[in-house]
Amino acid sequence: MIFYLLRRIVYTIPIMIGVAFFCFLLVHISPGDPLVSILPPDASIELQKQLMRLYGFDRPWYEQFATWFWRALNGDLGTSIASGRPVATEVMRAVGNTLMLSCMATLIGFLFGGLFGFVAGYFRDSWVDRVASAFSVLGVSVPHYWLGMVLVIIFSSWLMWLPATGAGPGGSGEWAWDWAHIQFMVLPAITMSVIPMGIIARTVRALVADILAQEFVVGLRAKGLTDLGIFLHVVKNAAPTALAVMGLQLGYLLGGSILIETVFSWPGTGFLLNSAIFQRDLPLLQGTILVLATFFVVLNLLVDVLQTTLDPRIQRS
Amino acid sequence: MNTNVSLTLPAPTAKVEAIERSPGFWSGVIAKLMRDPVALGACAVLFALILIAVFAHQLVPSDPYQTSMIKRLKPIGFDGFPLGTDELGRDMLSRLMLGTRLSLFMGITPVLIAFVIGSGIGILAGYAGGLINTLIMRTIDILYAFPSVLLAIALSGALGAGIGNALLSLTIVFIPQIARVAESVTTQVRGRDYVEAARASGARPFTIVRVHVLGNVLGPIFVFATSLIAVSMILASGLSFLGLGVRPPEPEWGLMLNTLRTAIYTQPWVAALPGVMIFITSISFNLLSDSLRSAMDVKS
Amino acid sequence: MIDTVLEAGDTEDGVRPVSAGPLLRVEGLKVVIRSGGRAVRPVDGVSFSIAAGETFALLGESGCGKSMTALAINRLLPDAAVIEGGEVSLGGDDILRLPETRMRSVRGGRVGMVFQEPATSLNPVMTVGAQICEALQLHRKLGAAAARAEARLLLESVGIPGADSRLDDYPFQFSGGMKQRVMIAMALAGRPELLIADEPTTALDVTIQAQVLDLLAGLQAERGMAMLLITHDLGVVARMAHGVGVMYAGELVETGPRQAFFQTPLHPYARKLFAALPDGARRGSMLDAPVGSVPALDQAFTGCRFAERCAQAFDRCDDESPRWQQVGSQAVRCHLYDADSVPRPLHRTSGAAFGQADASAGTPLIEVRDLAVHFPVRKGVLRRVVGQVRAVDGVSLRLGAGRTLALVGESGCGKTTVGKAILQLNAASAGAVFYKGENQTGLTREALMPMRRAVQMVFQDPFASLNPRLRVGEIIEEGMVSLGVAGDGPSRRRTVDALLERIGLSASMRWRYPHEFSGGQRQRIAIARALAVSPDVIVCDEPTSALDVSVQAQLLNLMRELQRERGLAYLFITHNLAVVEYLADEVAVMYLGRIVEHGPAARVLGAPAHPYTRALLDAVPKISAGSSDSLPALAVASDLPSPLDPPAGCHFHPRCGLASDICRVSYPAERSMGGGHRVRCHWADASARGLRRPD
Repeated sequence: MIFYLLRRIVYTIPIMIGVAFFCFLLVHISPGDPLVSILPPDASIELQKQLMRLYGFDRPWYEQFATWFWRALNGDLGTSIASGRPVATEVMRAVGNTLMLSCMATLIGFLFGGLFGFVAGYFRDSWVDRVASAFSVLGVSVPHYWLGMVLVIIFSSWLMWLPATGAGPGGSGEWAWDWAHIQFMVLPAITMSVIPMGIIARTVRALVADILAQEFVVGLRAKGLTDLGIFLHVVKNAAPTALAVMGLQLGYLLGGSILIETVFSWPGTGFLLNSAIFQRDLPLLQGTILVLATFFVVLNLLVDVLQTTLDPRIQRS
Repeated sequence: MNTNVSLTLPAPTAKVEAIERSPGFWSGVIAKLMRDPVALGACAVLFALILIAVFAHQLVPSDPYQTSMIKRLKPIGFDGFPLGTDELGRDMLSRLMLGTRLSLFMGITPVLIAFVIGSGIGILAGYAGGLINTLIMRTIDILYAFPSVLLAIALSGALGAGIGNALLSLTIVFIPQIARVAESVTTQVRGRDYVEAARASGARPFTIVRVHVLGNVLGPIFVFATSLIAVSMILASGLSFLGLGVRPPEPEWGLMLNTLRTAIYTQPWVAALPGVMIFITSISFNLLSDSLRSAMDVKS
Repeated sequence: MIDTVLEAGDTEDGVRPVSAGPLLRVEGLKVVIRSGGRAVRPVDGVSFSIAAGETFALLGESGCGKSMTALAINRLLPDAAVIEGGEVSLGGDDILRLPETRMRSVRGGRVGMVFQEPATSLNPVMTVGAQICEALQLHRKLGAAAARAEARLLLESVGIPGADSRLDDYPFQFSGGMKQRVMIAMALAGRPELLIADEPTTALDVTIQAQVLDLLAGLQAERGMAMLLITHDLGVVARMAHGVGVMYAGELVETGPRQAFFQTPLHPYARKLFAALPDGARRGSMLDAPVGSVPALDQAFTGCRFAERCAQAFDRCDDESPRWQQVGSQAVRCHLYDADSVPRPLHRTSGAAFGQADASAGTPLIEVRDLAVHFPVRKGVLRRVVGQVRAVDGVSLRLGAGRTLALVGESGCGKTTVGKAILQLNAASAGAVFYKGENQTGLTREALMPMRRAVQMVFQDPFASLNPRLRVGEIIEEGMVSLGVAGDGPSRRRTVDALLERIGLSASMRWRYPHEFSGGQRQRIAIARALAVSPDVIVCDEPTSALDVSVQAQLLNLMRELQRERGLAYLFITHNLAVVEYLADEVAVMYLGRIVEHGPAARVLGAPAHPYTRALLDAVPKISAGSSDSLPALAVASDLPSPLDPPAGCHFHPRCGLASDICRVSYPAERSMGGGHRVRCHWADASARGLRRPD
């Protein structure tokens, strides 16, 4: 098992380097000179050359990449052009909020998606199945940023039950697990949970239907098991895949939170990305994306390991 | 040696034979879709949308670019504006109709291009196997290591706003996804006995790919690609929603949703309309894709 | 002769021999499956009974309703299927009227079940121990510790070595035969009175089948269980059953004690089942297979259901459903035995004999010399090669024009790899393949063309070997196009039409797709595809193993005729020794990548010199009326070892009864037994002399 873990970690190294290289490239594919945004408009050629040397832009790309990568490994993601603060500090402050929101959304999505999917798979082709399947199609088809707006219209504007934007009363401040804070999370979390709910419901439905069609289920009935007993067997078979899908969905939410966070002004990485894009703050953009992609790769690794521990069929050697 | 010959059969000479000819795979799929009310409904919606997109300029009731400061944010059913007006007093109905053009274009084009490129890459990797497969698939894994929304936004954010850049980013997002599916289906088909039989008859690799691999692989990839169109619609509008795609004053649903965001307290229903259009389109593509998947499932 | 009518709901019994107080009684059982306005009746008025300690075999081809009968007895039918009528009583309890809660204690408690496919009949994510304990806790109310101890005993009783540690293994860690033993242990957990075994050995190799059948017979005798054995294999019936019931198209058509049934099967269908079996005695003659196939079961039958395929059918058979007739100890549903009809003499028909192909001298068409095919095993991040699967490890063969060479062995022995390597579909790691004296290994695609025109292949799985997206005509034409034979389009089309007619389909079928055909028809199309380029040699990889007996017989007949007409040579890859005896001129027996015995069919099969060959022959259940108690003199123990790490010395020694020290050290050299019969065994002389096959 330890050997498997090591091997799996070793496998992610080239992927991680590739991901880093891609993030490094982002600055270079963007149109215009990377220095333009920090240079005074009347800068002399001399000053430009000096800055080029200072930032290392005169060296070959692989040297630049190596330097950048080494710094990134040491937690130095450069300096935000807009705020002048280190990118790492900015990202780390935001990532907690995004993580919290995504986990909550995944949890909601998994609970309801799992329930819908299970019921639909168990009573295949019945009306329950059709209703549950319809819900899951709606879930994967809805533009979630629009759904967020609609929820705000209904629950904030009309009913005035819940706040529309922000992550706590009185603008900024520390997060706390009390209703004053949690009420800010309800709408974005529900909005965000819709896609994982649809996807998990579809996956679980297919899984359960597939398991129930296998011969061993007839064997279980022939063994004299009750419906509850058979249900537990089905859960055991479906769990590894369902959990893996849930893990991946968490990763997608982490990376895809930008639209929801923009709608709800949730102070997470997505919000950060949005402002980086508008201020053309490339170091901040690059750093945020690197951190989010790293999270995703690590999450993938964890999901793989988890699935291997849960599912004895996957060879560990 | 006569190896460069097509495998298509000559047309049947006698009428009797034509009657006994079984319907082809794709005509069978279409026949099944025709019997599926969900698929028919989805097709009808999409067909109507395409018609609106093509004849938008002929169909719009009023000028979608005509602004008016006094007629800003009028409600649905306001005199002369059946769906109200937007924040600049332009006719919502006309803008939604004209918006069909760019929204559909932005949603479908990246998937189309990615379908061609991604299938090519995936089939090559799957059929070649070995080192070529490893090289291609490991490279693709790197792009796959980004959640798709993040990848699209990273590329668009770096490249800057604009239709071309948004299309490019979305295409790059979908290529690895399609390539992965293409690779796995091709790898499966490559191991089938009928491919071995073709090799045992001395068929050229190109012929094998064309006749045996493409014929069996394109269907599943196509189904996958149609389901991606729904994702692409939402993502493309999302980019415009963030100000990264289409630029004003061109009408596009995502962009309209963005500019109307401030109006959700004054004219909530008008503000929500563009989203309804995105929703309807993506749900139609998803339903069509599901129907297509089950229609292609030959079990008899 | 007594006439008795047994219809649905008729509880009268007294026709068939019944041992004192039957444990299971099935009367007029009817199952209907309704879907989309169609009503299919897979079980249509079936009646039989089984006494405690007795084995009753339900015999029939696929689709005749055997499995549905078994599921109905346990009320395990799929949702769409409904029991429409009849009665099932187990030890006096009316099974069909028991409430579901009480039924659960019957399932797994009083009735144990074993299924066909060991690969899918266990829960893949639970240890086998947990699965057996579950049944023990359910039906025997044992505590966790007691259940585990009992589970260990059960695993031991089904012959799984190291039972204690294997309890914690998962199903995928067991071989197919071992999984089936686990399945049996689980079925025994509730101490059942009745064991239902649905094709329990069909998915297993012949040596493993023998082990599992012995185990079942032993357990049954020991525990005094009744057993309902469902099978398509006459050999299994002969070995296991006390009573036999033959099913056809949802009905029982004949029942009787085994002995009487095997001496004189009465129903024409039962007779056809015997006549369709290939074996040595029928060499050189056509197999007598019933034409056509089982009728669709969604129709209302007026006459005898077998009438349209029956050579002895007369007008009455079409009009009137036959009633049960008692003939000695047997009962049969056939008008031929009715007192009103004039019984005709019944002979086992045998078709026209045809001459044997001459052994051709000179250069063989195909010669394989020291062929090895190794597949690298890669591991780790760098995909380093850490080992070689020696799928084929030094094989030499010769195949002359017009001859049939059978390559025999268990699954995983490398026989398919040999076939593909001959066609250069797998690259040889060492050795060479010659076609007409020309070395074919390592040639380019263009240089291989002459060989490709002459050597074709027919694959095992008729559902995977035809491209589902091409029409039959295109499939057959493909080889002609690639190889540039048979001229232009119109002449190719004439060839395709002629071929389709020749294999028993019609020319208009060229426009159809493969999924519109049955397994047997698909295999014919595969043969037509091979024939299209007029080859000299066809490599046939288990072409009949996926087919029913009667379809197999039709196909074997076709292959023999084609061989005679066209002077074809066959390399026939198979595990089925009966087919080998029927068809082959020469036999090569393969074990773990090597040929262990090779020679003329009569010598190798009649006087096998290698213990493995003998074991294979002994493992085949014999179809005879004689006693089933005689166990094989030399049964093979345990499973096939891994070709990744073959045993040292003679590969067969861990499973061999004759093994001695020398066998564990050195691989035996080839020695000749005379008459072209060669064998690789240190004890070949002793084996051939002392332990001759008991025929």
